[in-house]
This record gives sequence, structure tokens and C-alpha cells, in this order.
Amino acid sequence: MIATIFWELRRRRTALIWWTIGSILMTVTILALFPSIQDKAAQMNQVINQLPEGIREMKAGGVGSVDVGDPAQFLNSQLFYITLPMIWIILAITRGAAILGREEQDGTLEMLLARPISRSQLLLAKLAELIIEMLIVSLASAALVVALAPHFELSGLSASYLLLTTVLTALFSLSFGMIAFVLQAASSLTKRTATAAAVAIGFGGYILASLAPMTDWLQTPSKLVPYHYFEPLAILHGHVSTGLIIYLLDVFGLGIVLAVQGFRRRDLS
Amino acid sequence: MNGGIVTHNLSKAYPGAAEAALSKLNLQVKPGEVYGFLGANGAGKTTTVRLLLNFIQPSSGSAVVNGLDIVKDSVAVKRHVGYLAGDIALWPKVTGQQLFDYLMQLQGKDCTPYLKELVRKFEAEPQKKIGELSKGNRQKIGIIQALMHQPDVLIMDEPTSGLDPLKQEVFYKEVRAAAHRGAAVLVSSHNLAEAQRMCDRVGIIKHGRLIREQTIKDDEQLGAPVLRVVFRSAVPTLGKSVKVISKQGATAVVQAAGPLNTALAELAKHDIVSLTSEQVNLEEEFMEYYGDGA
Repeated sequence: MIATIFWELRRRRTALIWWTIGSILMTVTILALFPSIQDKAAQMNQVINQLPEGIREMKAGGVGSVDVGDPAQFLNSQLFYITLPMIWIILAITRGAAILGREEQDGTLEMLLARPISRSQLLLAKLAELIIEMLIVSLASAALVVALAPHFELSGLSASYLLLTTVLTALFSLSFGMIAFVLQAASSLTKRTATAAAVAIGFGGYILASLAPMTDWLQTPSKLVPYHYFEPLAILHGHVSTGLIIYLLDVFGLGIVLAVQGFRRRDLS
Repeated sequence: MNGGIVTHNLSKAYPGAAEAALSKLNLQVKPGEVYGFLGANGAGKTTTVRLLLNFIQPSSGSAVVNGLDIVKDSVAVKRHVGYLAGDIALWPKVTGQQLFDYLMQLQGKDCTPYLKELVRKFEAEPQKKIGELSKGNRQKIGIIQALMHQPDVLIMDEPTSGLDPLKQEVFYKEVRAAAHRGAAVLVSSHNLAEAQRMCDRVGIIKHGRLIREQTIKDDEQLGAPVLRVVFRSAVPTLGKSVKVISKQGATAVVQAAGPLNTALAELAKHDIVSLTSEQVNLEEEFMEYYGDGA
């Protein structure tokens, strides 16, 4: 299992470096905007708070009214609710669908499974590598957020809550990669179909959760999408919703069981 | 029999398919034996190989490899198996050596001395990235990874595809050496001439059914060269000493039905423009050779 994790990491190292650099650059750029935004916070708040509720939810990171001059609200709306999840969801879904799916499609999976390694072991090793990959990318950004926040006047935020928010944002993003991974591993879905399904759940869910406050009939279905339970602003203040914890435990716990059971029994394509 | 490969009514049917991909295959490859598994595309060779490696599940029947059930003991089976896929897929951005190192770790066995020997014999280039290698050189990497841990059972699909004749000879020798060591070798191939060169026994599969097995060395038919003969005019009626595989216009593909000199004497009675020996293609040959009633 360790051999497979290192094998994957070695093959992925260049891509991993670029994903980490991209994530860091995005993070630093957004943090660096805060001092200039803070000067114009009053005007910006006025503009944003006049937007229709659904649009404001999308812009403001799932909260009703916005104060972009507040460090926590700024980080919530500009970094944790949409920017980092968007980058990390793309990474997680593409990797989740491909980590076994591409090998199966290319035929290289057979070479691995011709060795004395069980399908479950291989699957868990690949999943572990995916989690490590996400951790590397997200912890690099987390370290920067914690280290640079005071330098960009983002004061009054707890370093541990910043770290927690970054890690939970990474896990939340990874959950969509997990969905793609499970769909591909447990069934005969192609890499592309698994990717499409996870994207629909991830980004479709984001749009649904954001538009729900505007439309009565969307409020009940919006409770079924993961984004409904993702509240970075609350996490920045040390409150993690039970819904998010249950969602993450379900996706990772149930996902592993389904992926292992499905992958063990099915024919390779 | 504890070693080797034994299948019992091994079958595979895919949902919605008109006919089974493999139907009640009863096959035995003994330790020390090189068995050629011959047939046209889609005949069921690759399905058999994939079943034995547990890449796909049997619909019915069973098989044991080295005394171990292919489904229940799948992981244990693979401690004893060396596998080469047809049209081998490798990771283009890693070197051959990195691949060997990884596969040795998965195998749980340090095979370095024999690996070095194989690299030398095949003149492989393990320090180059696989994506930079020619098809033949990639095939060498594939062959080496299958042989390097000196398995008790070798399962190889079209193993010499892309290899030059010199390296084909090296491969035949290595397979023969593995068999002498006691390995059971199952080689799936289109190529009758190669099977004849390498195998002790062949089985011919057609439409998912094993239609014939024979000891190759005793069979003169299988050993006879295939000749492409161009006559001055239309292909004449030939005597019984010459078996006509196919004919078109003035060209006939023939094989000696008995002693070669008798067949050549029969051909010499006619006005011949050219006569060349060619490698047998099963798809062409066996459909003609065994006919639909086989």
C-alpha cells in the first residue's frame, strides 16, 4: 500500500507542484486585496447589499448581509465559500474520477492487479494518495493564510479557526472528488461520466443552495445538497455545523464501503 | 495436479451479448509445459486470460492456478503468476527501472539479479522513460516485468508483438527456460508459426469454444510451411499432396498435406511464376483448416 502511495505521488509530483502554486497564488492575491477593499468597504457593502438575495448569497458566501470590511466576512465571501472550493473541487473531482478510472481506461490497472495486491488494498492506497494530494495543496494554502493574514490587516481571527476552516474547506471540496471516485470505482461508469455526475452535485448544489433563499420551492430541495451545510463564516468563528459533519462522515465512510464492495466484485472494463 | 492451470467448464457471458464470450472451457496446462492458445480476434483468448487473472468474474465454471482458485484465492494466485497483456499499456512518464522497482515491491520479492540478466539479454533500456521507447522496446519492458520474478505460471497475450526476430529468439529461449524450471506457460497468439516454434501443445479456440487440442510436435500439418504460389495462369487443380488454403486468380496459398518434397513435386508440374514462404495467419488459416464443422 505504501509503495502504491509513493508511486502515485512520484508520478503526480509535477502536477501537484503546479496545483499547490496555483492555490497559493490565488490565496495570496485575495488576501492582498483586503487592505484596499477595507478602505472602500462602505461603498462596496452598499452595492452588494442592494443585490437580489440569491445573487448576494452567491457573492457573499451564503450569508444574508455583507460587511466586506470585516476580516471574517471577507475571507468567507472571497476565499472560503467559492474561490478555494472551486479550485479544490476541480482538482478533487478530476483526480477522484481518474485515479482508478484513467488506469482502467488505459489498461495499466491490469498490470497492477496482476500482482499480489487485492483490489481493496489498491483502491485504499489510491484513495489515500488522493487525500494526501489534497492535504498538501490545502495545507500549503492554510499555512499562508495563517502566516499572512495579520500582514494584510486581517486581524482578530484565530489561527486555529483559520486552519480549521481551510482544512474543512479542503475536506468539503474533496467530498466531491470522493463522489466521483466512488461512482467510478463501484460501477462501470466511465471517468467522464463520474466527473460529470460529481460536477453536477458540486456546482449544481452551489447554485441551488445560493438561489434557495429567493425561491420558496427550492428551500426544501436545497437541504439535500452539500453546499447547504457548508458555512465557512461560522467555522471561522469556531462553529462547525452538525450537518456538515454528518455529510462529511457519510460521504467518506459510506463512500469507502461502497467503493470497496463495488470494485471488489465488478468486471474491469 | 497441483501446479499449472486447470479450468473446469469455465464460462463467461456478458449481459445482452448474443453468445457467450467463453463457453465451458476445459483446459489443462501442466507444469513444464508451454501451451499455445490460438484463435482469431474475439475467439475468447483474451477473455480466458482475463478470467484467469480475475480481472473479470466467471459466469459459471471454475479454474485453479497453481492449485489455487482464481476467484477465492485471487491474490495468492498472483504470487505465482507472471502476466503480459496483449497490446501492453504502461505509464509513459516513468522509466522502465522505476516500473520494475515498483512491481517488485508489489510482488514482495527482490528479483534484481534475474532482472539484470533479462535486461542484458533483451538489450532493454530501463533508464529511459517508457514514453520515449519504440513499440518493440516497450514490449521488452512488458516481457521483462512478466518474467523477472520467475513465476510458476506465465500467462502471456501476443507476447512477441513488435519484437524484432533476434529478440523473439531470446524470448523463446526464456520461455523454454521457464518451462524447464517447471513453469506452466500459457501463450495466447494469432501466429501459428510462433506457436509451432515455441509450444509443446496448442489449443484452438473459436467462438468461445475450445475446438481442438493437439501436441504440436506430432502434427506435421501444423508444422508445414505455408507457401504463396503465383501460377502463370489460373490456379490449376492440384493433387492431394497439396492443401489449398485459399486461392484468387492465379495466386494460391497452399500447404503441404504430407511430405514437403511431394508437395513441391506436385507444384513443379505446373507453370509457376513465383513461390514464397509466408507466416501463417490463424485468422486466414484456421478458418480454412478446420472449417465451420470443427
